[in-house]
Amino acid sequence: MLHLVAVLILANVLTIAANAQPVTLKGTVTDATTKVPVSAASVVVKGSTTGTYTDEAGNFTITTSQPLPITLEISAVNYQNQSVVVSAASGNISITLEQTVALGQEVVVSATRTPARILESPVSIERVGTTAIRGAAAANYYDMINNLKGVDVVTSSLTFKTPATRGFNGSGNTRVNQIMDGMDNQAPGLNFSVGSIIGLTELDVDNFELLQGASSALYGPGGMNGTILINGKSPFKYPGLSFQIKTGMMHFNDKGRDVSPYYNWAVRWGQKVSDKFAFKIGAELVQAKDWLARDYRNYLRQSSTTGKIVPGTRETDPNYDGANVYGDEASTNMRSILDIIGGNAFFASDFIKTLPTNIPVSRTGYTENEMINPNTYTFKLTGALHYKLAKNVEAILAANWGTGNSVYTGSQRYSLKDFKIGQYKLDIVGKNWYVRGYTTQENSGNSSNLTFSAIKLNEAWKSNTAWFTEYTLGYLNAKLAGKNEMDAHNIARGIADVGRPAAGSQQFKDLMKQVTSKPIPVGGQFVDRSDLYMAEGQYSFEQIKFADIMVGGNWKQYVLNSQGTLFADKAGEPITINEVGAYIQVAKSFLNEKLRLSASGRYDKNENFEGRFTPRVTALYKVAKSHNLRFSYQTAYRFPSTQQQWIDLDVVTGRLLGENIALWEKYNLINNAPYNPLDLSERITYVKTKPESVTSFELGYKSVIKSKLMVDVYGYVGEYQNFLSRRDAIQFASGVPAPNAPYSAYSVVVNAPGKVKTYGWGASFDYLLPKGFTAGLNLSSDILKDVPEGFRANFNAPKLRTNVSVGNTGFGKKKLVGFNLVWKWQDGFFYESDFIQDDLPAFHNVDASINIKSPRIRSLIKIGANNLLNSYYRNAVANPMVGGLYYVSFAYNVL
Amino acid sequence: MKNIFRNWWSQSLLLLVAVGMLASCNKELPEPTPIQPPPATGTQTISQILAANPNYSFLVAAIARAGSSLSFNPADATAKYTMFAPDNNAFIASGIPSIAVINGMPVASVAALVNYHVMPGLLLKAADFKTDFPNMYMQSALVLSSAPPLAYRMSIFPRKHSTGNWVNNLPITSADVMASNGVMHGVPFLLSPPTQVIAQILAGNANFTYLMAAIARGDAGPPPGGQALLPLLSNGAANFTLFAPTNQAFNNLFAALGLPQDISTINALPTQQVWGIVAFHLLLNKRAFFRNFPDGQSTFPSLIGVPQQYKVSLAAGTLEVRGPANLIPPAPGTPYYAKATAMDAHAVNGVVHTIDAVLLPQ
Repeated sequence: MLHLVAVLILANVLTIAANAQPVTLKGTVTDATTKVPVSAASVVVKGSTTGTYTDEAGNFTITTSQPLPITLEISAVNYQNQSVVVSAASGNISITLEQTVALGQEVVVSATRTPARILESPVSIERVGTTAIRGAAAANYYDMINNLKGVDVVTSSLTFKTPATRGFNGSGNTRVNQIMDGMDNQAPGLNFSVGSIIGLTELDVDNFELLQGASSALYGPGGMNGTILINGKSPFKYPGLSFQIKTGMMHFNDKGRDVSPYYNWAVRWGQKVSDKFAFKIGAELVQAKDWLARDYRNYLRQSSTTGKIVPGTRETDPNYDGANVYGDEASTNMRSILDIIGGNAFFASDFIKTLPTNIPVSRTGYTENEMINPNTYTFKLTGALHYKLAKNVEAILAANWGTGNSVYTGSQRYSLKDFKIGQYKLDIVGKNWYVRGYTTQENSGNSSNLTFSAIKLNEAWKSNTAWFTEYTLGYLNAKLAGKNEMDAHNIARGIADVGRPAAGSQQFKDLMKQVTSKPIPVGGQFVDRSDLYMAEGQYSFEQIKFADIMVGGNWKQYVLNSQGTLFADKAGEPITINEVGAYIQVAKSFLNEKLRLSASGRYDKNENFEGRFTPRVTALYKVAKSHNLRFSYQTAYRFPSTQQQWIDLDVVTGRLLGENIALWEKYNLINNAPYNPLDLSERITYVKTKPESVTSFELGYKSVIKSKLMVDVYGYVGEYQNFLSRRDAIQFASGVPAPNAPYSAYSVVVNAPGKVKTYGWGASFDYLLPKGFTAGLNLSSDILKDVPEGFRANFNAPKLRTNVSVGNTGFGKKKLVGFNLVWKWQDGFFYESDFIQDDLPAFHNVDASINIKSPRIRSLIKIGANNLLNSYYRNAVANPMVGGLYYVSFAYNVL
Repeated sequence: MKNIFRNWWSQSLLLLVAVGMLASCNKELPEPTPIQPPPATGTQTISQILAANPNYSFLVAAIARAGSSLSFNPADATAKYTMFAPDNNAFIASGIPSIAVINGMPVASVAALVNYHVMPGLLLKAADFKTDFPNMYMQSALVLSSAPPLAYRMSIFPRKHSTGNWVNNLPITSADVMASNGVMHGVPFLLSPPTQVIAQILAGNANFTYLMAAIARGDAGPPPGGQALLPLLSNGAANFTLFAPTNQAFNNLFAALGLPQDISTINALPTQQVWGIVAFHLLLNKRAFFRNFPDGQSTFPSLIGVPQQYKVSLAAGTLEVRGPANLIPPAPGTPYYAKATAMDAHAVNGVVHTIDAVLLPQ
């Protein structure tokens, strides 16, 4: 086999040598409709291996030794192939390409870290390119992820969406890597990916790729449930000024808000100063009134992170704790106060004895609507300097900075206010290597925890002691006046709440300002100034012909700085966590390129955990032309997130603790081990946690049938073990459990025992109809099984979801009108999170847009709607209800 | 063939989209569901039950007469009351022979009378009556003071006893008539709200001048930690059982001790000793009606901690009480019991049993 290849190569060399009478041809490739240069078009001399690509201006130069006339074959993604006969070497050859929709021709990088046709990717991958982004039925490019196969999204705010694949989604999911222009955009302290808050502006996104399923082997710890790579536009390739003005309306028929506008303005300026130097700057502002979480059902907390929805309203349950009502988490058993009253007022003592022993009462809360300023915004600022150090070596200095107001859901709802995050990198990219250093600088601004803020606001107005005493006396008086239980409670609440600051009043605003400017546990603010530093590099051995070999490595440091408000750090004494990793990938083709095998391995060591090796093996078998079978085995894992390692946060119902032994020592949990609250005979002792891991097998098939129908199907099984989870623990001051003995409640991080299996499948069909129409259907399913009893996996994936789409990139006389329509439906499932657990019903949603191109000014007008039917839905319990967003946009210089 | 294929795809896809769009809207966000109040214990209110039963026409008339002066509303279906409901015979037996008499009484008196028959805010079924000595110290609907932080009402004393259920010193005749807003128990007589405090009862009775003098003597110099007794016996929010020795009882004691049988003797005795003897006659925070004592012999700690010893015959209607030092010589002496000559004198702040000997703690 090897010999054969060598002979062929030799034969080629000899052929070229024998005909060495070079002719140089020059030409330009442009779009037949828009007259825009087509870059990266392939130009090949027919019947030879000689070929080149057009540059950013559509120009190409090709030198061939074949005698004229020759035929040039030109091909480019999204264009029809074109052949041109050239009989003279003089002058500029002008070639126009007709737009078309080709299936399976996109080039993806993330699947193997090397460019490959999507059809030949050895693992499941989705790609969205510039054209698709331009015409998308989405108000924001980030929303497009929602409609990809196998993707679940949790919308915790208009500007805060968290995607995941193959289960285990939640707001601020830590199992999906999001890499933006080479930088992991996970906030180092808060652990969520800030994709929609900072990073590239819509005008600056060239494409994004989504790897479904486990992908740690190439991208490092964390990518257990997918990796998203978002890539920007090079200023060399996309110079000039472009801008986009998008204005919309939302909150039609919204129970929580009045109709209000949506603004999304973006501008980008790229400048190619010389052949060596180019730069770009961009900015984007999104401003609107946020979707509102308004689930006011009664949530019965069973521990700091578990509970269930139960019947009850503020008027019918004295201990009501509304899901999106905050401050009512503060609760006490009135019995203790009643007993004190009985001890002083003898005449009431026997009556008090007739009352129940357990009378839990909660303080009056404020709804999310009352707590949060509805204005949400994100402002992004990006810039990059590109300098070509040598022919194939480019240095890039880039900065992405963003700020905004948003809401996300962790163990509570968090108001991110003037949240800021900056990412700064220096990249040096060679033809077959790169080195990169970057840092993520997080600043939580004036962000606060809504539950805490409300509790502290209530207390700042009236102490719990005073409020509960007034309540109890009011209750007793009402009872003794013959009122029934609930009437007595409501009268008591009325008395204790006299003078309570009304939401929106000046008093309320002043108190709110007071409590949100003080960090937890005094106020509701959380201070997070954590940073991430990362250095990485990769090299492909081009000189080794035997196989394609690539090596890489990275060093990562987290600097956790919350001034003791979130982590167990202290002001001026941040906690650092160091991690190093290295990987190698070997790929080789066999059987006449019909079979391509690759093996990758990655080793990572976190200073707090034992090192982990993750292998990946992939195979791609070309059954026939455009019929590819793929198989992969991969493992992925993640170290406990920075919060799972070092959080030290009182959440009223208990204290969330990280897994680090220092925290156990801090609360004397080693010497006085806590108990399982559900079974006091079980003592919970410290066990060092292990990284969570998944082993996954995937079989897939991708094919383009008659250039009309692209089919992609996959099935996978995954097995998770050492699942990182929390469990409740109560520590008795005396060390021995006893009824009514004083205790402290904790939620500690543990590896759940046993293995959890997942399996699932996905299938997509994209069909090219005549006249540029396309139709697509995808279905996917993710199922969790073998869940041990009492184990909460937070799987959060439906058994079935589907997207149906129709679209056209250009129809009409001049092919200037395009549209897209996507219908998404997903089945209901039981949603689990630290914040809440309850049924999430099935829902569906239609996104649609229509666009008109104006080639003369290279502009695009788009009218569209997210949730066209304005049928409010939510994709996570106690998260906002999302309604229709209707927009119109004008984008200049985007064609 | 190709056309069919193409059409099939395009049509079915468009159909799918159409079906999706026509599909019912997403589920509305569920509203919180109110907790239903526990089901009512009866279908009719107390008012309705009374109105439907001619045996309660006097009570109905009394309720009507009291009108808005009542502090409870028996027609309020959402409220919760325990009512000791006297039927017409109970009115007649208590000296109110007709509705006309009721209508001739002052509204305030009728209101006080009716209010005193109700325990608001709880539903005390016969089985819920407690057996603890002496009884349950509950609050009636007769408001004495509504000053904050906690209103004070005329106390009322239900009790389960071996001989059945009682309220104050009246037996329950028919128990557990369930209403939607409470429960009713029958009583054979009216429960008359007391009008005087113990101090007033004592002051108004010439048989207790020695006792009043003893109280004054003790209050002039109580032992350390001891409170003046007269203010307590005058306090409407207090609650006592007092075994009140008559003047003769004091004279008998003085005779036995060889002291002059005169009220002035009291002032010759040490104040602390007198205080201790008087306090020994009191049960604090207990209102023990005759019927609340256990049949036979029993003891209960007095205000000073030393137990009083009782000998009771419920059948014969006799109550006797002694202290550890009530002895008939010669030494070491035979235990002597003071006899209650009058029982259950009901005060706002307690009950008084007249006894024929002074109780001696030591």
